[in-house]
Amino acid sequence: MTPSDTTRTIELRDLELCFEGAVPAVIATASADGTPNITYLSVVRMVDGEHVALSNQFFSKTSRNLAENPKASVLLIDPVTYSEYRLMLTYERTERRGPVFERLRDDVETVANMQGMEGVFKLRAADIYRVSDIELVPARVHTDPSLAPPPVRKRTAPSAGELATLSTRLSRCPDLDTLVSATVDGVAELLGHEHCHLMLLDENGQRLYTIASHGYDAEGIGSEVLVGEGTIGMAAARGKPLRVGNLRHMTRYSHRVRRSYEGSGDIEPSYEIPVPTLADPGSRLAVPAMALGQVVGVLVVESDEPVAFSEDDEAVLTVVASIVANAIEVDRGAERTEGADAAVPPSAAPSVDERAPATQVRFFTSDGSVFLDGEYLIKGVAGRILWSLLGHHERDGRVEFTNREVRLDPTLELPEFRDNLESRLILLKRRLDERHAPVRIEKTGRGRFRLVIEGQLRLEAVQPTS
Amino acid sequence: MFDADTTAFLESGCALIVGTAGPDNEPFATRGWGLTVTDAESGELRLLVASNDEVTLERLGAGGRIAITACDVKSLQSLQLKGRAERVETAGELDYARAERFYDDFFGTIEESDGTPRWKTERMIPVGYAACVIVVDESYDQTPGPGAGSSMSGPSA
Repeated sequence: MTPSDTTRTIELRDLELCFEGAVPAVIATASADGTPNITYLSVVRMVDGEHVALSNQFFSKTSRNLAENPKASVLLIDPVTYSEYRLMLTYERTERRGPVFERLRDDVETVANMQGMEGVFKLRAADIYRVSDIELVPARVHTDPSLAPPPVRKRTAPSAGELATLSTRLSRCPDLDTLVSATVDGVAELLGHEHCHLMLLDENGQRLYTIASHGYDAEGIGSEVLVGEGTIGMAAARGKPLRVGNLRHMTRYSHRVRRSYEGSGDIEPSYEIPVPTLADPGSRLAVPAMALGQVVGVLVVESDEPVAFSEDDEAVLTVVASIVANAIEVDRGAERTEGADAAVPPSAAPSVDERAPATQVRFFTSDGSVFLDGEYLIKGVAGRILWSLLGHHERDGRVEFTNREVRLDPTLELPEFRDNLESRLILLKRRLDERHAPVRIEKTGRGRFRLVIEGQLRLEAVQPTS
Repeated sequence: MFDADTTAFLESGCALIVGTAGPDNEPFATRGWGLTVTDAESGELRLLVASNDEVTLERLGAGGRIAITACDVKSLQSLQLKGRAERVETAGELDYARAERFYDDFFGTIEESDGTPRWKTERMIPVGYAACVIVVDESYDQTPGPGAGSSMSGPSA
């Protein structure tokens, strides 16, 4: 906002960033007897060029005032420039269904979900107001801009050319392993989202697991979130992108709650792999990767800055996620078809360095978790696959395997439809590489792979005690 | 009206938002830029608002009703005060010093908790200040949660 902006007519659309919720909005109302009330608002959204919608969940005095007197005055702050705007509103109607209501409901549920308060925060209605006036609240910088540096310009959305380049790269990937790497690397390099990760939906449709990441200190391969939990899980559950521009405040709150529970001993220390995330993220955008109407995974980008992602970013990443999802489905289909024809290869003689120290491999049958020399590696389906392969190696000295025989292994209890085996093998491969484990997986062709084992392994299965 | 803890809270660097209503009951939202409890017993306080906020100053100059919500940026503890303006005065040196101390604390807390740099929040500083003498007659706990709106001195909000 420059000095000349203070005199021009301000359109509601100019205030786009104010509606992202990064800085709490303020609402003043007045009762019939002229007593004012002033409070903060959870959500304000633009409906069109002349209307805004306010969330109505439990600001009771404000609701009562508006029933008596339909006028309101709202303060909004642009989170990039910190320019403040005053909107004069007149209540028009209440909506309890439809796209505006759903958008506000999503906003409110996102906040509630992050705080574990789904039962408390429930949008009752979306109140629609006509905007009769918009005013820039005059500040010292508007009369003397030298008093403060100019605001940082927002990153521009990627061009169609950059999207086309990424699409081309993805379409040339020969397998899933290459595809997931090309996705996160391309999103960073071509779209400018330096911190991103790709999660895939598990066999039961209940969890998402990280298969590739870019721009984080820890890759977080194999980390999981429940579908419906947090911004990422909610994006998968809804099959809709979820953009949060005020993550810092929300995350701080939920971490504080978590810490207080841990301090009380109610939550046991976990060996789960942390989901890749920035130390103190300001914004997150989670976009579901959909193919044939089904969620295949979620593509996630993060930024240190608040309100870092726009609707354009959301649209571009939706295209990318769709390309990735469809490529994954094609690969899965091809892998199952071709893998069915792959015969079990003859086992190569294991090459084991007898002088190398033995690594203890502990497998917990209850949850499929695997520990190498006491350090957590992986759990679930990928853990069971590793244990099965190592068992074959110990008993028969085998190192060559096919996806088909793994798929038919009854101990893995893979679903007949949508077993995600290739994804799990890639996850396992990446996790082993990330941990510099003495066991590695090498692809030897479509539907075939080899175990590479350095040194000796001591296998130990741990049964549940009760 | 105000005990020592409440006075300390109100005079801290918490966010101050202010609402007034005109003769036609048209509400108007603005910000406060520092508050000093001048008489804890009677509930009198001195509130600083932007000197070019003509609507607020006109209403308060005419003895209008006012609502002030003070909110701690970190804990979200909030208190809403309701009362009436006694008079509006030109801000003096002490008021300007008070405002400076206020936004130093306020912006500092925001930077600490949300990471928003000072150069951004300082863009909100008004051109000058006017002092409003207010007498509070009602107060409400406005902290988010099940108790929000409960009266601390009068009828439920």
